Amino acid sequence: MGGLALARMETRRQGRRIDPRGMAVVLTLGLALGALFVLSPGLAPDPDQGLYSVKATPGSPLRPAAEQDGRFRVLDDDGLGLDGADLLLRNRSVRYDDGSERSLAALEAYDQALRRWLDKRLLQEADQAAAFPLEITVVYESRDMVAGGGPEPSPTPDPTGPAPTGTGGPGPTPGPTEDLVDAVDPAGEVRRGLRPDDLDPPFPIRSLLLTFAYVLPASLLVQLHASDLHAERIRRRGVLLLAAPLRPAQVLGGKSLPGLVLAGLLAVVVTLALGAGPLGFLASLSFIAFLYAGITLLAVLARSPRELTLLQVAMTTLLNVFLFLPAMFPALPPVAFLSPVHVIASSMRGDPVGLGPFLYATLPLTLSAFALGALAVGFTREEIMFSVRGMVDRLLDALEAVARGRWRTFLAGLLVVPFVFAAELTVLVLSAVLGLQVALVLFLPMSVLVEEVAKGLPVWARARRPLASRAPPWLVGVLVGTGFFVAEKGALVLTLVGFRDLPYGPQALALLGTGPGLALLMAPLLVHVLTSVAMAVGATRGRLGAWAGFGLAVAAHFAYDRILLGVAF
Amino acid sequence: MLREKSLVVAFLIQLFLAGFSTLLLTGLTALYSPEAVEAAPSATVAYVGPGGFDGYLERAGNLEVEDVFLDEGLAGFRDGTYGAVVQESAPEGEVHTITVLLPDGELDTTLLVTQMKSLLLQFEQDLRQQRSGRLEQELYHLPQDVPSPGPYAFVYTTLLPLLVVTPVFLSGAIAGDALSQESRSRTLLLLRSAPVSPGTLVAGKLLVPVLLVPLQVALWLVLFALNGYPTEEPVLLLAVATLLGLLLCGAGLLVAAAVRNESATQAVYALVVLVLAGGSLLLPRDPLNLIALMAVGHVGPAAGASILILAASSVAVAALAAAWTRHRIRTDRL
Repeated sequence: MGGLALARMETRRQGRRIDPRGMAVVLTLGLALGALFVLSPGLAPDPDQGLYSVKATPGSPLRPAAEQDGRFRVLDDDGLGLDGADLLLRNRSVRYDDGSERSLAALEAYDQALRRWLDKRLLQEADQAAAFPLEITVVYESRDMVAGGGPEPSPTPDPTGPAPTGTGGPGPTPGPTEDLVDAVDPAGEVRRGLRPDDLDPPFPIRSLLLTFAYVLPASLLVQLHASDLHAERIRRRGVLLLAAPLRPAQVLGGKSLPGLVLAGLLAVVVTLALGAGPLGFLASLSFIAFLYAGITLLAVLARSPRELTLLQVAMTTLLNVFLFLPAMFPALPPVAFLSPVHVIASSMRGDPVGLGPFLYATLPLTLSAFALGALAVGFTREEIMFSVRGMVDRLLDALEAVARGRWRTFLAGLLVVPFVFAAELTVLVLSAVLGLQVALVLFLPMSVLVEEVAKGLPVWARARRPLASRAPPWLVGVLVGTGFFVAEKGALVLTLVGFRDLPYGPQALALLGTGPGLALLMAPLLVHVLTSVAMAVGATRGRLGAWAGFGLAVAAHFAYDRILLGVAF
Repeated sequence: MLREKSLVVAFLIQLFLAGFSTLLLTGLTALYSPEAVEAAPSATVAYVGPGGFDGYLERAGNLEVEDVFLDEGLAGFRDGTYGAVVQESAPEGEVHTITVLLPDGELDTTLLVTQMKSLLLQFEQDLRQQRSGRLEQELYHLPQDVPSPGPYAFVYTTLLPLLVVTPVFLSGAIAGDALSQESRSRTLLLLRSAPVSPGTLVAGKLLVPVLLVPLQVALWLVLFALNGYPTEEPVLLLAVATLLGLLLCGAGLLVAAAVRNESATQAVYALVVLVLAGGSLLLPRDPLNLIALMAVGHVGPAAGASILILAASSVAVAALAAAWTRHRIRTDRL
């Protein structure tokens, strides 16, 4: 249990290191922040105050609606028409300029303001059934369209009113006067008593901003952890640790465990505060793990604190963009669910999140976290950490150190897939949203290159120590290719997210090795194995051979994809 | 004095963000009019009820309505024939209840909801109009065929302000990082022996990152203008952005001088920025709103007051940071 002992030591050491003055500063700042938000509960950024200018006649009944909405600056009608204002409210008419985007935006905002104002006035009516004549209930139910099977067995409904059907036993279908809500198996909350205005798929800015509550503490913690780890390397303190009878995995694990546990606890607190539920918590764990693993890797890689800071900033920015950009498209689930943040935001709003979308959102990041962690462990070796060789060399050495043995080679092939997918999916999905037909043409060669490089990494790593390895090149190729293939099949989960319904969805899925028919499922195995073997064999013949192998693999894969798209579509 | 590497990274990050934001600007139509993405999903809707709302559904060109019983509707929904099931109960003169059943997690669902919302709004309006005799309040509403304005509001109130604030934040981080780096590597002591007064030293450390802000913000504004979203008060906006930059660079410098540990500096700087951001919400017009107002050209007295307060605090913080850092350098405690 060396790793755990190390973790305990680390916790104690960090505890001693906590600078009381520093802690006092941090606590004060934290309290100040908390006090601000507790004492002024209405405090929130209000970016569209005073945005639109409206001219209105003083007696116009339409004027109060604009005056009571902070988005409008209301001026008196000077008889000069619109003239620079966005809207003109003259008695009972509304005038706008349909050539000006701003005027149209003002009109839309005013439409909303007018409705809200009217609703407020109508609340005081005696006859509420006339004032609010419509009440809406929205309910969702999952239906298994992929299996294309018959209707799902419906649960025995409890009769709400008098049911004149008088069927003897509990029938599988409800009677004609049943309530729709009681007849279904709802996914997520049933929202009752809504008015039409409540049906907005809400623009998730608030939920998105709230998820920063997860990202921020985790980033701060991981930054401290990384600089600590990095300092041990730079000042050579880590050498003593490496000499201890602990495996590198235990060393790194032990040092990271306290921080990880703390990050996990913070995530629990945030989950409880935001009401994001267990799904939200698990989703947050996926990107916290990724952040931790990635930055730990950087700490082990970087050669100076400056380099570490730069790489950290770059990685956190990229991760944040990857987290928040897809979530900006809630109307398109295949896009939005790329990001675990969307799972959290949906959870907070009570929207249903199926297992498929949840896996789709969290698996790539989680698997990548494992991969990055494994790589970091590979780096925790004296000869690599303190070597002065270039980045690529050290990367391949680290990979080789972790990928020794047949089982691990297979795993290496498996673990590069999440990165490949993340890259390919982001480009594909964004271009699908923009409807660029040319995207598919560009996507093809790009995806081939990415996949071959990804498979090549473990292959080239293994090739660096040909004498130490007992596995012949063809075996290495087979293992890597098979690992890749197995992980690729995880793409089946994409079909559960409705990926097929996107433009070019089926084609993209075929390229990623998912589609109808056994041939389509198994043919990639052959392709991946052959290309990997080609690269492995080529790598044993020196630099030129390695390039030749790579070229051959790319060409073969490209040809296969072209044939696939030509034949199947 | 130019820290090349951090500048390069900062620029690269923003270039990357610029690329994505261009994608965002052109792809925002998908967000604002989901119908534009898939030319309105055509679906068949099962209707259960005495009639009323089905008329509105039928009027929508992309929807087909079938009048069915509940069990048929459910069966059809579950095997994919129907995209949605709508049940209506319409007791005469009382509240109409409408229940909508939609498939969970499918692409068309959100698009259908958006479409149904406008139909339901129309229905409610008409029902109210029918019953207006029972109401005292006069009913006003805009006609339904108002054209869609595109992402105008989003661009000016959210995207542009966030993109202006980013270089400000980054500049502060750079300022703090530069100082703590030099402090740790003791090069400050070396610089002391050069014929440069500590005051000039500090001025350089403070002003260079600050000057980066208007440069980057100007680039963003040009990008937006080229995409059809011009800024009405660019000079004022650049001035305010520079002031904000001064504030955060001063804060960064103060944190670095106080903390002196490189990574802790970044962490504490982030916290300080959070507190400042929270405090900025107390202004008459918060910074994001301020930027939006300047972009659309509606700077009023409240905004002017905010700008003055901002200017005063920025100058104060920057002066304090400069003075204290200079003092620390002079007394060799940095």
